[in-house]
Amino acid sequence: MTLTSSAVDVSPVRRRRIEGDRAPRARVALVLLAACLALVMLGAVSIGSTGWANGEALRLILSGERPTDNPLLLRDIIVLADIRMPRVIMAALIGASLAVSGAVMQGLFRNPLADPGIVGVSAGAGLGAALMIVLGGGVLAPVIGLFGNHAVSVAAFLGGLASTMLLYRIGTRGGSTNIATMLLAGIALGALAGAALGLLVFVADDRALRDLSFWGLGSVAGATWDKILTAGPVIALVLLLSPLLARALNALVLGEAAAGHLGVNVQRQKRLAIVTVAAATGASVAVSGGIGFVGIVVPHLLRLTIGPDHRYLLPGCALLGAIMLIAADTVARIIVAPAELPIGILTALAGAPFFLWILLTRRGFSLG
Amino acid sequence: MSELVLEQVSVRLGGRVIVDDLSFTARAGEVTAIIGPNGSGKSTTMKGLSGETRYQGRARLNGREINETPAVEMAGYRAVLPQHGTITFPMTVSEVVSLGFHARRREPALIGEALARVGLDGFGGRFFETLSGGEQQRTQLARVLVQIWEPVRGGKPCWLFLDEPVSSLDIHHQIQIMDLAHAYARAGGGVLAVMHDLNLTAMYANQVVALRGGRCLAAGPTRETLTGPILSAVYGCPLAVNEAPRDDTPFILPHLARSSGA
Ligand SMILES: Nc1ncnc2c1ncn2[C@@H]1O[C@H](COP(=O)(O)OP(=O)(O)OP(=O)(O)O)[C@@H](O)[C@H]1O
Ligand SMILES: [Mg+2]
Repeated sequence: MTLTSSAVDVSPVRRRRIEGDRAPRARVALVLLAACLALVMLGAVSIGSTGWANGEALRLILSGERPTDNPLLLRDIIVLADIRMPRVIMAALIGASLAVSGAVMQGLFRNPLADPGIVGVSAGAGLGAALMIVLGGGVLAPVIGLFGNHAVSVAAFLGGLASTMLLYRIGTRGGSTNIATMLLAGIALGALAGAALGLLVFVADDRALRDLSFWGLGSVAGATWDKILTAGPVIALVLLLSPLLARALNALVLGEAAAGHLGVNVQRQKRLAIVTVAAATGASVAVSGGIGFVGIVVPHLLRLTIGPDHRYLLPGCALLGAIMLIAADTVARIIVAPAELPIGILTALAGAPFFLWILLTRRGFSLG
Repeated sequence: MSELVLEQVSVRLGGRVIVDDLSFTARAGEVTAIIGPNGSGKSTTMKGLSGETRYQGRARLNGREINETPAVEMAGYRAVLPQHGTITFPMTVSEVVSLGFHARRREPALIGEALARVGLDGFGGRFFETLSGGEQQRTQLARVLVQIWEPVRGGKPCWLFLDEPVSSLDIHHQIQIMDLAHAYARAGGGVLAVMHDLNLTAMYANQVVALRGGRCLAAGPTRETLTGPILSAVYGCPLAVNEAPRDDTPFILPHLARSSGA
């Protein structure tokens, strides 16, 4: 198994740094991103519409003490521990999940523009949520009775799963998935879900309408420890499982046939990737609504800097996605204080021009 | 055990029989060439033998039925160079070559070695999409080489399935790559290559399988297969072997370059 046993030719091994290997750079980048995430989390918890938090409050939260003699300090502690902390953690989870599911979907579809937001998975999840918001007082009341506050989340999750499975069924013929068909079908599904959503607006009452439009813009403002316990485990599981897909996604860069030649069980890996994306998208849309462009911008930026090796790209996306969404959410809550901007507006404002820029600078993507 | 044996292999695509009742044997230690006109089913045969499309009949590689062997096992002793290869994301040449490590231990030193063998020394840091067509083809070949670097592994031969490996290459690099394939076979590996250049086929192939319309017209040792009558029937036009042009049109053969380069 050594080089000299190669019979093509026998020549001495040249030991030097391998030109064009970006793995060492990628490893450094991961360490930097992790450090950066820690800093951003600390900063985002500390800063708010009332300025910087009291360092004493932070220290007390970490030590678990609650001073009863100082009402001001107690208020700070409650703001930090019960409002900002869950919000920052939620933003981190959602950002990581959006970026990782974007990267997985792009690797799967062999197209840097594929994203759950674009192929209709988010729209399906959104339709599920909207159905619950609008019809929750009527026909769907028993579901609310069953799931209580989580009914909207559950509906979004099911909507995302249903649209992904439908997408997969349409795109798969004779055991192999045609990526181009799937991509186009996704666009049609997204339009269909959008139209159904439009119909719902007609039957919605005022309160539902307001919920609907706020939810549609996307926000992590409603984050509570309770919601984290609902969506968190699903997202965490997806983040932990995604590295298992890395090597298959790398091979898929060459196309499905060549990936098979390299030893990838293509059909099984595709199925695993699809379920991963559905779970992550469903869970994040359920708690935060439609937050666009994180799933495209973050993987693209990382591919430019550390290359397309998914072994580093996927963890990198989790870290940078979390950083970006925490940062966006922090800006969203202080820029027009005491009011708040829905975070979806911010990510679209920054992300859409970036998306157009990608289209301008890199033409001629193959559909696979 | 160290053979590729096809018995009455047929492949249907889109409701049509593309490869019809094909039988031949390719041995490790030899270069076996598949020749035939455009659309005669050469690539389809390769796809059947690469686990890409299913076939009827029997096709065994090293004693294992190809249709029934898991991809990961096959990848340990069979690497495939497709006729066309695309890459989605911007990758460096080194990164493309290292994809060949998917089913084996990563040996980074092999990347530079493989690139040197295909005449791409110093190209590791270039982006694949910025390479010329021939350079891209040789990069893909380097990737295929690292997958089964040793021609014999664990006592079993490894197999290179190459669909038109020299189609985009200049005459010098054609010879370099065919020399490489030949050396691989000499060292105990098996090489199955789809070829359009009949002079190179004559120089490097031990066995030739000639297809026309999905059927095998002739199969056997090169000297017996590359004859005027057989080639004329295969390609559907009059072809003569070892006959110089009657007028003074120049003709250029690769033979001299090989002996001086070797
Ligand atoms: N998926 C498919 N469905 C229907 N017909 C197909 C399909 N793929 C190939 N064919 C047909 O099968 C025939 C053989 O194709 P194949 O690619 O094997 O030819 P080839 O011998 O490799 O030709 P070339 O020298 O041009 O590469 C062609 O007529 C082609 O049109
Ligand atoms: Mg062909």
